[in-house]
Amino acid sequence: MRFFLVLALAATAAVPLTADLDAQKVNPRAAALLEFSKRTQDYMQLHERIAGELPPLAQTATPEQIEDHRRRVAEGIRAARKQARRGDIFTEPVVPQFRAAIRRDLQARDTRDALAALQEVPPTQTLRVNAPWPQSATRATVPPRILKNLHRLPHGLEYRFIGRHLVLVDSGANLIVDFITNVVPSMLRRR
Amino acid sequence: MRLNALLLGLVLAGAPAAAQQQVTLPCAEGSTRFGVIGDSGTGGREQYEVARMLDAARQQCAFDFVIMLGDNLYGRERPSDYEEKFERPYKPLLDAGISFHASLGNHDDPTQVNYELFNMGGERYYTFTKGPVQLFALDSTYMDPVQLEWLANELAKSNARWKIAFFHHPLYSSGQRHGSEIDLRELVEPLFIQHGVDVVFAGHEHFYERVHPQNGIHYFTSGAAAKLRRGNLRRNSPLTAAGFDRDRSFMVIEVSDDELHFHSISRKGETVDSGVIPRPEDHTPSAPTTR
Repeated sequence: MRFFLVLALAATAAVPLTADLDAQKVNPRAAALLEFSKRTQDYMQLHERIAGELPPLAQTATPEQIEDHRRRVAEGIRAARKQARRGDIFTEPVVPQFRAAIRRDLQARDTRDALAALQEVPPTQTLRVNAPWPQSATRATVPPRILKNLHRLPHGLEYRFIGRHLVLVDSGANLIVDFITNVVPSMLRRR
Repeated sequence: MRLNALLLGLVLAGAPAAAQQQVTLPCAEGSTRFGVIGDSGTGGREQYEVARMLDAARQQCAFDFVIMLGDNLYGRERPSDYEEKFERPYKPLLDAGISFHASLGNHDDPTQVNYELFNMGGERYYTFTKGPVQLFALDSTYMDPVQLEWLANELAKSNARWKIAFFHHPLYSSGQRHGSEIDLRELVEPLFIQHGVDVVFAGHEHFYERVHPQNGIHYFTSGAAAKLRRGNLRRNSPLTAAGFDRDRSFMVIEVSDDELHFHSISRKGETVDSGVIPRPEDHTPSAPTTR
């Protein structure tokens, strides 16, 4: 009897230790992606909150009203994210996963296909978090096979390429939210 | 005449007409008719000339709406640009109550989705039905899994007699500058085949091309409603059923329960191509009869 009691106590005592070990076993890649997901959702919640404080855009809105609405949303976001810096959303632990996903996709293509997939990407420009998407930059197609392999974004955020950089864009507010530099190999994009 | 222009002329189905074109559509009562313009938003003289010809075509055979294949506004998109590059050139059509339904191109700002006269309902991709036709406007600049899922669901739900998709980037193209969008094709075309999409319109290439049916689907590129990439069609391309890269162009379409008639017209009123596509009951390939 005493033997079983000792055994039971030992088992109980072991529970927290096991839990600690489990906690340590969390896949760091999954944790980084989860954090990325949370930060993109937090960003879009902020966007929605700021947009929600403005008079809603009517279905019959004129181009002036559409432009004004977007400007005010962008100003609100910029003010709320005054301290935002590169890497706030594409955090250091998650960046290698994006680089790897894009590298894997491009390596799976022959050179001609890889070049074709990115042929219309606009040339490199100076990027800054909270700056508008450069007016001179087209929104070149993001290769759908790459999109398929990147982490899903909440509605309103998009991945786009400029030069060799991957940019997270708030399409409604036309703002650069974050970016990762040089994700595309230099042999494919020299500009 | 240069040899390549002569060769291209041979693949054109219709002979150049006089300055004022005769629309070859049957213009039958009860049919659904629409115009097609791509890469239109330059605000330049050629856009206005094409717009005038589009209106002339409407006066011969009235259509209800126009689909826009992207690059609706090039360059800056200030409120004055909406006026100069859209509202003014198409004023006679807008005044006549013709609705425009846009898709986004790589030169378009996504806020266009909120512009009432583009009828996008605030969405980058959407669907609407006119008579026997259900049209699916897609955003080919950003074909993410969410849009693919939406497309699969909407196509599966559709009981329309005709399913027509339109978007900016052509899945098949003989353009020397861009060519076929293979990446996009890999993901989108299986859905088109599975769900019986009949006809696809795209722009991006600044010329007109009708591609031989691919997997039972009729593909048109009509991206020269303002811009032109002269001589850019690859000669002797096995894809090309008909092509025109010598001037700007647009299309008018008429759909009845069993047939789709198409007519591509140049800025000067020449018939670039015309024909009729019978609706296959089982969606197997069918070659159009050209006039």
